[in-house]
Amino acid sequence: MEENQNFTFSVYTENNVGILNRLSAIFLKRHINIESLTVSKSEIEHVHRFTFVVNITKTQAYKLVGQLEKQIEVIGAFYHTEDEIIYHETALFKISTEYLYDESIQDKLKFRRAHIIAITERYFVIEA
Amino acid sequence: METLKKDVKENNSSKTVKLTGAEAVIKCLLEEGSTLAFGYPGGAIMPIYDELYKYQNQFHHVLTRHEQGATHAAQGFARVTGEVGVVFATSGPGATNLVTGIADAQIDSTPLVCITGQVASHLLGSDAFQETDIIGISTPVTKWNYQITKAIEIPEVLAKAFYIAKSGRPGPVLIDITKDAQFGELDYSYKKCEKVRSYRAIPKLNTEKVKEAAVIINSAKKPFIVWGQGVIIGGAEQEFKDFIEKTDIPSASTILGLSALETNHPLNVGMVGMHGNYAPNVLTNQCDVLIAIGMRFDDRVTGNLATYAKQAKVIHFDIDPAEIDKNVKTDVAVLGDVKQSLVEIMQFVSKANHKEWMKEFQKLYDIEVSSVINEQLNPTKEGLTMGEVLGGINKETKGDAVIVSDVGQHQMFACRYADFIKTRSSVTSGGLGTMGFALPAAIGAKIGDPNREVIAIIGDGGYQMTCNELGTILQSKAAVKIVVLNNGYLGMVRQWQELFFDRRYASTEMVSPDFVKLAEAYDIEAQRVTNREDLASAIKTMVQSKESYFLEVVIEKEDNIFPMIPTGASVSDIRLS
Repeated sequence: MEENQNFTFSVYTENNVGILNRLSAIFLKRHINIESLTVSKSEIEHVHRFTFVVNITKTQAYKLVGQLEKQIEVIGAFYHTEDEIIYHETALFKISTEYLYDESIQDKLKFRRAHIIAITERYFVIEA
Repeated sequence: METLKKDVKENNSSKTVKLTGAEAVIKCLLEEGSTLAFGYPGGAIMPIYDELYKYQNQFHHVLTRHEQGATHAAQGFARVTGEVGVVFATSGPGATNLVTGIADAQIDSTPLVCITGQVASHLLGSDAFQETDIIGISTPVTKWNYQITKAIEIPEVLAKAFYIAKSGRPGPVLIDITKDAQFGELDYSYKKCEKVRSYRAIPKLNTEKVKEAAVIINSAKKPFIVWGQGVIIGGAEQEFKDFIEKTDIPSASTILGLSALETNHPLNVGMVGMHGNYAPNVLTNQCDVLIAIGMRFDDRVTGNLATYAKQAKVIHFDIDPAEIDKNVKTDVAVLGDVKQSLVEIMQFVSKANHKEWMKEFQKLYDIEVSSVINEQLNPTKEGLTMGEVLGGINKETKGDAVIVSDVGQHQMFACRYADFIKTRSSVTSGGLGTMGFALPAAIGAKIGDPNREVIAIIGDGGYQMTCNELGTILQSKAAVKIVVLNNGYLGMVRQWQELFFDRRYASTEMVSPDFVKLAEAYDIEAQRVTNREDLASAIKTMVQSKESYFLEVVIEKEDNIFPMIPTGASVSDIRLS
């Protein structure tokens, strides 16, 4: 039996109403759960990028990319395994300004390379 | 639509006239050479129907009795003519009633353009009367769909709809047009669509792959071809025949590939699949090279994939890249237009002779004749068989009729026993298996090609799903011949209950009305046959009739269709009884 692993699909499409529905239906039809999904503009004008993360076998991934690519408004579809992609997570924390001098916050700023990116009278924002 | 806006601007620079969106729809259809639609009116599509009234001298509308019937009729039309079938329906239930036919067209690669009315754009999302999200509903079963909310979009979107429906691997397209877009005005000009930037209709043929395939074919000792509807859709019937005759390769059809090669061609070894012929199924697991042409290795063709043609090198010709390695792993995939691919490969394949290998097919065919076919065509038992009805039809039509079959046992008998001498002569619901398909599809087929004899073969179950379309025959005068093979059961399910559920006939016995009276109520001449001696003359009367004719044949109640590959079994474990 082939083992499941995480695959990241990058799907480049026209920017039209309804494409998300068309693409997600392809996963639904095969009973595949979407672990994460991002839709954004791509580096190419008028082209949007869908990024799906799903946990499936390599054979499934191969077939799935064929079905995605087959959709009329899909310009290109690709899939990558975990070790082929660089993964970086960034979080923003909005904190009440009264904790600004709190020790634990200070520690995080020092040791986790977090930094304050905004500060107002009521709150400040840390990026970590 | 980013690409759309750009092109609309270009259109504005050419000569334009002011029209309403509804009139533009009809103009666009005429530009595409379409002069006929099947449909059903309703509130949200009334502006378009008003134009149909005005354009009735140029554009013909066939009123079906249900929207599902309109889609199947359009499918029948498309399958015999090779043109795009056009359907009109209103919003809400009109649109949802199309779904079965659209799904059928999608899985059987049939080009349709379905135009649905929609509530006015300001009402979208308000749960207005007869509002339904038909774009959302139809997305998984359409090749493409689009909602038009402004009249200005109509020409370009419809041009794109026709292009997408008929190019590459064909399929259904649904265009939903809000009522305000139908009423709205636009500066109309039409430009046919020849390209969509994100869509490649036909993959580029790779000559290296063709050469690789030819090398394998040239060295094969026991090559075997399975062809599908791709040969018909690609208009490659002659090229296909040239190819198999040069290479002398025994060839079998999928259910949808039937009639691409005449039934009595010496290299035609029958049909593969669950109820296909014995020889091509068994020998699939003995050939050394399996060449698949325009087919998609459906599970009904392959049986258990783990034991399907494992000994063979597999060559797959297809237009759809997503079909390659989907079910059966190929050694060489030749992507492209089948006609072009076959022309290309002809220069690399050498003339061959496979007479010894062909004898293997003959040997197994003889077994099938003695154990199954003989009894079907010339029964010794009292009850009438479905096979002998088909045999009788062959005698009258000499294979020169369009046979439209529904879904079930009778379909398998029709596909196994009907003779074909011309392409585009078999119309059936293969992939989706839609009961109720045949009657409306036969109407569409007859209207599409009025010079051909069109005979619908239907079971008593499927017939009652869409026999409301007798009204369409009454009104359109389509001279469709209807044969209902009545065994008083939902025969295929009953057969499975007999074989796999210890004869527990749960809800498969079917009580039917007097079909002859029903046909007569629609002014269709009708006859019922219960005895063998009346069959031949009844078929003759039916075929000779210039008008529509209804023939009910009362069949042996517990007749079974064999051979059969039970679900999950290997093709070579096909049962003869």
